[in-house]
Amino acid sequence: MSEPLLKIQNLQVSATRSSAKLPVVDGASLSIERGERVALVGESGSGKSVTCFSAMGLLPESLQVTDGSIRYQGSELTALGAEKLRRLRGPEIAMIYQEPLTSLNPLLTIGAQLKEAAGRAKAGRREILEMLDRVGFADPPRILRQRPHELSGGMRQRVMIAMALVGRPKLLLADEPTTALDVTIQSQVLKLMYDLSYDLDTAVLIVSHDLSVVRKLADTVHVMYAGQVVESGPVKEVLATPRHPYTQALLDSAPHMGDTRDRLESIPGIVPTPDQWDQGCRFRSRCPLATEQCEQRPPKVEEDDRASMCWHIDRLVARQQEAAV
Amino acid sequence: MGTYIAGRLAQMIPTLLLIITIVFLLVYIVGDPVSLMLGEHATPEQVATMREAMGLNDPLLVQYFNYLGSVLTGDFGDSYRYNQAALPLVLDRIPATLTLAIGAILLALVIAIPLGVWAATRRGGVVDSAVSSLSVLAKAMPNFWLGIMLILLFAVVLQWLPVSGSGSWAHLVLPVVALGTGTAAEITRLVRSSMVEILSQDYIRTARGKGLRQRVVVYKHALLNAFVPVTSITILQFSTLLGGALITEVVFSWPGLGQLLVNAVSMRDMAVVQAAVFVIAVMVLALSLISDLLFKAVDRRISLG
Amino acid sequence: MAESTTMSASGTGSVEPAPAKSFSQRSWRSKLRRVPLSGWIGLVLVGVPAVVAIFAPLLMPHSPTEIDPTRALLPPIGMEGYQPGHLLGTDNLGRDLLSRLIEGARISLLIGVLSVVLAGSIGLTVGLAAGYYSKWIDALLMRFVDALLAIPSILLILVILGVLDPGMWTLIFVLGITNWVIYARQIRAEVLELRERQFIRAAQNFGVSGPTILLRHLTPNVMPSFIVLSTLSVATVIVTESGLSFLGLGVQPPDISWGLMLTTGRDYLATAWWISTLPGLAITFTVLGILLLGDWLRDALDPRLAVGR
Repeated sequence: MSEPLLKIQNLQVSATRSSAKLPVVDGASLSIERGERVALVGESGSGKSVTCFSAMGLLPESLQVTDGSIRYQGSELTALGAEKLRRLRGPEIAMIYQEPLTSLNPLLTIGAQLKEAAGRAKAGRREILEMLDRVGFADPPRILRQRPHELSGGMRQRVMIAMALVGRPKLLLADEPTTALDVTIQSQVLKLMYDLSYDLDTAVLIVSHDLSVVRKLADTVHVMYAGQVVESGPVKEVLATPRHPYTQALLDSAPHMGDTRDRLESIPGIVPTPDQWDQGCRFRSRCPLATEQCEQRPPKVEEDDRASMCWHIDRLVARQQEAAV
Repeated sequence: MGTYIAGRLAQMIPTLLLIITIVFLLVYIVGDPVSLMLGEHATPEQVATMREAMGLNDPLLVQYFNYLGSVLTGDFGDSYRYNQAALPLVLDRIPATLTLAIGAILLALVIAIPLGVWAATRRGGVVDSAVSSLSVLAKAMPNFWLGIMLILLFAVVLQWLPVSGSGSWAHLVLPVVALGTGTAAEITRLVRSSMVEILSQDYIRTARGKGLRQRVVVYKHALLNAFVPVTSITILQFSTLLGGALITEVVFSWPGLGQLLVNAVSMRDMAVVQAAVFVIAVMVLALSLISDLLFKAVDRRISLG
Repeated sequence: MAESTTMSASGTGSVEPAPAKSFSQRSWRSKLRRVPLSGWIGLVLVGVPAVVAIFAPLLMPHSPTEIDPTRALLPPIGMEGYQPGHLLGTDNLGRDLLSRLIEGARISLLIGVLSVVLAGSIGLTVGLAAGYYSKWIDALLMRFVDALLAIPSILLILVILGVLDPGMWTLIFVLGITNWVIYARQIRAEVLELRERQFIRAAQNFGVSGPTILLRHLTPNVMPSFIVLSTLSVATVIVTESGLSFLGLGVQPPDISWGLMLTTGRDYLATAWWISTLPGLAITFTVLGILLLGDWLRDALDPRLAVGR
């Protein structure tokens, strides 16, 4: 099998202040094939956005990759110089962000900002207009002349998508792309991303806290908790029969169609902060299945294309079967 | 647009009126214009005649409105020292002062923008600390002393530039540096702090995400957004600068408004003082209007109310 | 769509590690105890002239006004022609520069402090009144303040100096009554904000009288920014004073001011550079010290004033 498009292995990202090092992502691994749509899901503070930004080389100054590897098409991004990394951004790897309202430069026209992105990939005005048309603008030439404040949040996010894809990148990173949008706009944008990814053969890594987003867009999902990937696998299987208590808890707290429960179960407790992490399972303080064994480093259990880091997969499966009866 | 300018012009009227009133009260009530004009050796008869002639025996309000009336026609009275109308005397000096002030502002911007940007992109580093230390020091140095030190070094010791006076480009160099340094320090601090804030904005991350060069990100995407705060401070600084120019002009014998005003104050030539204060106030108010209009042109998000 | 309230959107904000938060929450008292290097430098630079000013008569080697033409233009220590007894040399009339600098510190700091006390009291009173009594008093006062802020204060100072006789006390008065506006504006803005807070509301509901609320509740709360503004104002005033004295409009001989010493020095640049260099250094270092001290106080006492830094 050929090398995947993007392969992250044992990634550790740390906040370094005055010689002390505090990891915020610790041992995250995932890979993305050409044209594949992969989701990273987890609560805030799980390190999913940081993982995403480190692949772009766009970490904030306070954070650094301190261990592990990020390989893109066979080249090691963590060893690549800033200048070579910069050249990858845009034509090879593009990104869309959580806040469409603040992610566009308020003083430049949409046209000027799109042209910069297109210019990086030697695309011209025709490609820009075509891309604006594809993301659903009725009058592309008019949009080019407008400034961000004249557009709604949904329109701005579509501009961001057009800007990211106008250079036909092989990989699109999307950090909570629909979180800031109205519910009705959310599904439109997701559908658009799915269609474009399919048509342009662009791989997508989407970061979200929302399982319904994951369900709609992704083929493969990685569940992150406290800086680690705790469960991975095909979306349909993972969401139907989770192999980690945390994934189960996420599912139990999410509303779904035909929900007859009076109230949603929220996960008790809070995500442990990095200074509280130890080698044991980090979910154990909130886990209904936790035992003393969970203070030991959990094993990585792999089965076909699924993987999970938990001591008690058998008990979790038993519970699921019980509930199904 | 037209109505906006008209509205802003109308707002200036009360401010100007207040300034004229304060000056009127000071000169006519606190100070005694007659003894100022005639000197200490005037006889009581002379004083009485003069008071009557100047209308100083009229009720205060009558005097005030007479004064307002003549100010409206541009008549601030005659300078007793130069024996001519005060206003033209003041207007004559404006080009020299503006040359100095504009030169200082340009110098300040040329120094401050790259320095502030440099410090902001290396926040917390050695460059940043050095720039902020230098700018505090420059702010602490009185511009007239800096001027004297510049004369000492470049005119007396090295003899590269003339000590004082005007007439050539060489004469302009030292006063512009003396006046511009403090302003440069002020603007550097502002450029740095606005750039630090702007560089942490989401749209800067977007620009980096597009793979744009650092130079384009900093000078196009970030600096463009710093334009509004920097312009507003620069224009504010201009009014401080006019104040500073008064003293700098004396240090370098620069034939501007400042020298005229300072001499008028020490000679008690109040007609000239009043005309100069009025003219400078109008200039400062006009500048603030210009700055607002500039914003409108640059930043269409600012709605003018 | 969202699973639970605990799973709020994670932006880049959540990227920052948690320990960063506790720093900003630390109280100003503990910040005040942590003096940064620049704060120490400021303390020293202000402390030296302040101590010198207080103990001036004990420290002066000569009378600062004693004229001795036979000892004119002597250079400071380390230069050829230095004469023991005049550590920093003498001026054109043979007066001892060190003694004059010491006496100058006294007058410069006295003018700085007294005029700031005057400006501060007026500004505090106006600001409190405008902010608390609101409505037309506020509108009237602020209109006046805005008009005054619209023109460079040096203009007003010059007009007043044109009608009053120059001298130290005139200077204190003039600088005092032209600098109060900045206080008024800042204090008013803070009072407007404080007025809406619970404890002021509660005091009003208990029937506490207006003046009592102003004095016992509002005044202590505006003190931090009042102190910061006052510190920084002393720097501005010292520079303005030396400028006016340099122009001959400020302190008059035989009183001594650093600015006045510069006027003499300017005429002897070619022959005796120290006469103009030393007082300028004194002004610069004192002002630098006050600015550093003010910056530190602002960071420690009043985060609101530190916005944008």
